[in-house]
Amino acid sequence: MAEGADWRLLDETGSAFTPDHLRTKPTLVVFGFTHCPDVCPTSLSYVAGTLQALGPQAEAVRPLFVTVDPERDTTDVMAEYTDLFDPRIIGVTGAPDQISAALKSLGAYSRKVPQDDGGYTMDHTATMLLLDDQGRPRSTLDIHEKPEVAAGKIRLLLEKS
Amino acid sequence: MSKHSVIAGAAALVLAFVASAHAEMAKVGDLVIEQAWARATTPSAKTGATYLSVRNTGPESDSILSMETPVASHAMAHQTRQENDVSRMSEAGPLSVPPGGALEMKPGGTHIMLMDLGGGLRLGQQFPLTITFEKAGKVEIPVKVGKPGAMGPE
Repeated sequence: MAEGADWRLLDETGSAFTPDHLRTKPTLVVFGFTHCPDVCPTSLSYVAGTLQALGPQAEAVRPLFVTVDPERDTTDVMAEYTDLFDPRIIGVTGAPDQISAALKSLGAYSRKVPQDDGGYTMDHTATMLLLDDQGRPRSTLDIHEKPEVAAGKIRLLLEKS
Repeated sequence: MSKHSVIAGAAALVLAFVASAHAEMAKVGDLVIEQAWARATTPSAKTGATYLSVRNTGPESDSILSMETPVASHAMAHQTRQENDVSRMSEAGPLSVPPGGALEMKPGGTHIMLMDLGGGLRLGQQFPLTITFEKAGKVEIPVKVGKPGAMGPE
């Protein structure tokens, strides 16, 4: 996260979620949207597996699912969706301009792609980011690695924090 | 009830038994459709993904013309591609099965996108999917719903 990042999102309970929250403990960030039935469930299930592999240490990291589709992903939709995979995963949404600002400060990309049926899908950054307790990107997780490898990367970060 | 309809009824029972005993497989012409599964969604979800494989045991290629299911308004073949670190999803176009070959769907690749689900997909639920092939014609296969993050049939 860049210095001076300024945005205000909402977590799945409707409470404010700002850059200050990223400066309290390490965060695992996943970008996606709930109308994505193929890639996003794979990513979130990987996060759930990683939390399981961390055991009690999972409490020291914040698993965050940031939507790239704030139009359709309300706080209620985000809460319901993230709980499918692990209730510890926190869904975050917000006003479209605030989501854009947050994605930019985290170095993530998204683009709305219209479909023939009048609907749309979203292209988005698939990389999962590991931020330290100051919100700085320290590592990325690779879905092709076992969740135990991801847990190892998180443990390493926790030791340094 | 006429003798004819009794026989038809008995035949239907036998067919139903055969279908349930081989719930994971369906055949039409030279094509074998198997391992059809989907991921559970939230009750309010509008989209879902289904995966299956088609083996072509014949000498000619065939392709999927259309798909239908009572659980969604539309079912279309979609393709996920990962370019650098960006994930993109698009319509896959007509899916063909080469002679002696197979069409394999899996997470992160080709999948059947169910659109406008009427109440989500529940773990353990089973729903029918009708596929129309260009040459082999129509076939119905039962799809089993697995866990939300399942990576294959369970």
